Amino acid sequence: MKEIIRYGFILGLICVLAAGLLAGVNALTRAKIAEQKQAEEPSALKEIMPQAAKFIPIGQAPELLYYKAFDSQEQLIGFVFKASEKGYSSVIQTLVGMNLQGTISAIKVISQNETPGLGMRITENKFTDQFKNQDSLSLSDVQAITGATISSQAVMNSVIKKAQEIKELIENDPFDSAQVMLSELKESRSMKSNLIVSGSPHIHNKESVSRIMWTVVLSLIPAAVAGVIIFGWDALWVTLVATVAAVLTEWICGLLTKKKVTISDGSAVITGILLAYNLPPNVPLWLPVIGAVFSIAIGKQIFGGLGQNIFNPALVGRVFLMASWPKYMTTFTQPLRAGAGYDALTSATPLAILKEGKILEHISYWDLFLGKHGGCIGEVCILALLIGAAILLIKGYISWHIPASFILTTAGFTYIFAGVQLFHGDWLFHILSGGLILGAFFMATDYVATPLTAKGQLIFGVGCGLFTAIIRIWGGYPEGVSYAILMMNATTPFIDRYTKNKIYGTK
Amino acid sequence: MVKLAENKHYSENKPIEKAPLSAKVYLPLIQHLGKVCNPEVKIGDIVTLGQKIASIEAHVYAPIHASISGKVTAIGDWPHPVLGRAKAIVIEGDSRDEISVFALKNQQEVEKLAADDIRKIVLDAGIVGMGGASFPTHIKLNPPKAVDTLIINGAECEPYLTADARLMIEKTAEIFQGIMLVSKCLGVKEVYIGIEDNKPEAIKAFKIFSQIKVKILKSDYPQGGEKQLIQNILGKQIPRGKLPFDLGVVVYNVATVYAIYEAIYKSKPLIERLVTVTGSCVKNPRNLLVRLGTPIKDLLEFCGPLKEEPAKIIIGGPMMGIAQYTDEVPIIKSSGGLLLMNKEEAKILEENSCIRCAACVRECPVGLMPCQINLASERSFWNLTREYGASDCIECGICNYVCPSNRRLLQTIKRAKLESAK
Amino acid sequence: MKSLVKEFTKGIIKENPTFVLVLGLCPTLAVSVSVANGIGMGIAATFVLLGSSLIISLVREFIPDKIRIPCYIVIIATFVTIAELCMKAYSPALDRSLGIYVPLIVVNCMVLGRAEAFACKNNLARSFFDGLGMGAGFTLALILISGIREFLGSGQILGHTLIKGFEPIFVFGMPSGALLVIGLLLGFFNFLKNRKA
Repeated sequence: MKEIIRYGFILGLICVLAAGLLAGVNALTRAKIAEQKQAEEPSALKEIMPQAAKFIPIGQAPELLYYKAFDSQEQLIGFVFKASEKGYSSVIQTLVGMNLQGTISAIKVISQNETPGLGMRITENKFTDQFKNQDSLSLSDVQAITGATISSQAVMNSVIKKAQEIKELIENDPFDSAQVMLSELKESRSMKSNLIVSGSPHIHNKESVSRIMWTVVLSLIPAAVAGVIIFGWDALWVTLVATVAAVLTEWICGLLTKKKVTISDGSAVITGILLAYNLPPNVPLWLPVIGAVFSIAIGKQIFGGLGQNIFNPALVGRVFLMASWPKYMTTFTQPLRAGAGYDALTSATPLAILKEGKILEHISYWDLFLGKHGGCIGEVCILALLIGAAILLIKGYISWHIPASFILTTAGFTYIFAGVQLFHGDWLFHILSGGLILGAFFMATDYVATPLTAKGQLIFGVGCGLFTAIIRIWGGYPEGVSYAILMMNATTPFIDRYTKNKIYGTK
Repeated sequence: MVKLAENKHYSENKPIEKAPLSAKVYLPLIQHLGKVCNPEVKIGDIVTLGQKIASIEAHVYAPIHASISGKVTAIGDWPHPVLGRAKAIVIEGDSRDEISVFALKNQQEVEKLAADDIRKIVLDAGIVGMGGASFPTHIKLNPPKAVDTLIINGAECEPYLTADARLMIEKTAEIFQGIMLVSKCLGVKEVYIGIEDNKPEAIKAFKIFSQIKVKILKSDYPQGGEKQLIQNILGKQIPRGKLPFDLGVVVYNVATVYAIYEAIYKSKPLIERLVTVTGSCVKNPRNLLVRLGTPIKDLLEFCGPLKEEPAKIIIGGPMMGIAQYTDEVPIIKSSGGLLLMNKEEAKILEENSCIRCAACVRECPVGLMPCQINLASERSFWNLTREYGASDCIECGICNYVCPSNRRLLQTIKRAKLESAK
Repeated sequence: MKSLVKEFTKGIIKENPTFVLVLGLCPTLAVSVSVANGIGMGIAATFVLLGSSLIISLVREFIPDKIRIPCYIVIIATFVTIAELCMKAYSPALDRSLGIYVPLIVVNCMVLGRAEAFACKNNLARSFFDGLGMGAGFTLALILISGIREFLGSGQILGHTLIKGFEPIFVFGMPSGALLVIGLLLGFFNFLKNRKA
């Protein structure tokens, strides 16, 4: 008894496996076999309608409805369709060619399995030739084969029935080419053949990526001028070197990846300038070069180029430089010394002095506003930065949401926590020092790495402000703007997902 | 909503003129939303002006009428302004056209008509929405829910087009009578007409009617969109997925109302419409009253000779119009404008990658995020496009207009609409 | 014999645990600060891998499937402890610089991964060469990464200054630099692999 169960089980298992295997193979090959069959059809079509040069299938595969046949002058000359009906012992499939007048050009039996010697004779020319020039709806002169009535009738009936169907389809089709009209169209002399046909809308506003980018470059120039006035010509060299290196890197990356070179849109120039603005004016010139190369190659191109970077490229470069050569990045010259080079007295930034716990001496808000203190090239002169920001705000290229929420959050947080006691913080000092204004208006507003909607941007700005204040007050670095922005850049896709716009008609 | 360069100065002061009759008209069997009509005439038949020549047994359709009198010379494929190619009936004109064949009704006869009578006349006249949608009007006159507000759309927010503006100035009384007919048919309590502030004459013209509240609208695009119109006039939004009658509102274009007036008072079927022929290439831009089926090349000849060869011919306005591949294409019920663009204006701008500037997000009148739908559509993430509301898109084209990277946002959103509906 | 050699060589390039299988990145990131550390960790991990692969292969028939993971962990942990004890005994400096990452070899994905994927299904000889190859590949990867990092981050290799007056780039001594180096190397090797294909 146990043996029977065991053998039965094994046998059953083998059958199931075999069936499964066959089912799998069948599924795999079914499409290919059908494909092969389809490939046979074109030659059969030519047999049915020899004058036709081209056949266009009508209907969605696999439900092919019929073919339209065109001659070598692209005139429609007829239709070819498949008729099928059960014969004596199998389903008979017949390919039928029909002229425009509704008469048959020819038929060909393409599939059948009738009795050899009897029903199978429907494939012979003697039978099929009768169909030529017959009216497809009556077939009045066609006679069945003696001894194979059922098979013959099956063919005839299927032809008549299908012809009727196809005729109705053709008539109801607004796209039917009764080419009486088209010949008129072709002869028309005034037909313009070189009209541009493109999708709507057909007008466009004046904005383009390069227009936006170069305007941003323009808005950064006041800060460059201020940098040179305050720090000397070094500031200009660093800026130029960074910019040139950035553009060259983008050019080379474009060549290497065999993609379109996009240096003319000005985005690499912006990255170079912003990177320079985040560096002390007295850095050795190879530093901004390496920083710019890193910014563009790793901060931007590796992600896919313009529009694809997750992080602000200039900040990526700046942070890399900070981590790599902290000594160079935290040594600042005294301001307002023309031609100051490496011999400068090191003068720390106000924030750095604070971080070390020392008291800030004789620096007024006005000094902070004009930038009369040590710091990075582009961050010190608040006045120049605000002029540039005004240009961008008026043009509508940046919106107030991020700068406002960023600056206000930093101010609020530092007011509460940055002072000797709670609610005694010098928020005005914090707003005017460090890279806050530079970051809030020019770097936190980078299109690519920030949220799309107003609500999302407000959240982004608040987050940046919080991180900046926290790093400044309790963190290891004196300045936290770069890290704050980079961290919020990482949260942008998340913010985007949950701050979608309200669609018209939503309650 | 965006302020576009209006360019209406070409034709806004040109009074309506009748376009000369063409030798042949080509009337497609489908000029409306709904089922294709079947021809009711054969080749060789003689037809009179206004005779019904194509119809079908269906719910959503509008019959087609002969727009000139003459002989039917052919029935077959011909270029179509929207579908590219469709079956059309060709009529070769004879001179009998000048004889007015339409019987006038006087005011008492019109007063006696019940709502259903009005609907039947509108159906038989083949009237469809003339603002471009081409929805059969008789169905809109019979909303499934009770409505209490009627809004007449006199915004004409597309640049260049001025036909509706001229109609409102020159046929004010007739439009008013049409409005009264429609409001009686629908049983509404309030009637508004929304007119953009760039049409001061039209506003003045309609202010004299106490039964109609004139709402002056800012001339931004797309002020004339149904959703925007209802929001800016009534302060309400149509719930997503629903139609205006769900709020008890129906919206009609002024030209449609005028056609209804003609159908009822003059027993005239829809055989002609106003077309603004305009553009910098046209020497004599004008507002023409054109018989349906007139090939645009005849109109161009009438407005010519042209200043320069057009590089692009658009039927409709510059934002939603359709560029044509031939000047043999005929004017149909939805063709409100014929705009020619020279080479400079027709230049196709190169597409770049999205820079996430969010201009499209800010300007979309329906509150969608076109850049996101575009990216999802390019990767065939149809579920995601549904989530971002692709089906709510009104296809106004503002997203393409403002995109600094010249991305084909509208086209990918249209595709997403199709695919996510499957 | 040829196939056994293949088991060995595949661990070096084709199925390198760091750059192809991307296993055991945590200790790689942490430990590759200097070449000395890299070599030390490589040898320790190879020893553990070899030992555990051999034993697991030996007893693979006897370990019921349901409790195989606990069994493997016990075996691996035994070898790690042996390694740690030896290290503590014979090179305490190395043990100090590798620190917590020595006991953490127990959960190095590479070790458990090879046990699961290979040793429990193959015979002794193959498991031996596989373990050897994987360990060698891991060690070579570590040497490459830590070589770059040590040179750029401190200007030295194995404690010897190569270029006089070289300004060290500190970021490479930090974890962020480690991620950068590994990421770029992975990208580079993928590029080579795709080019061949």
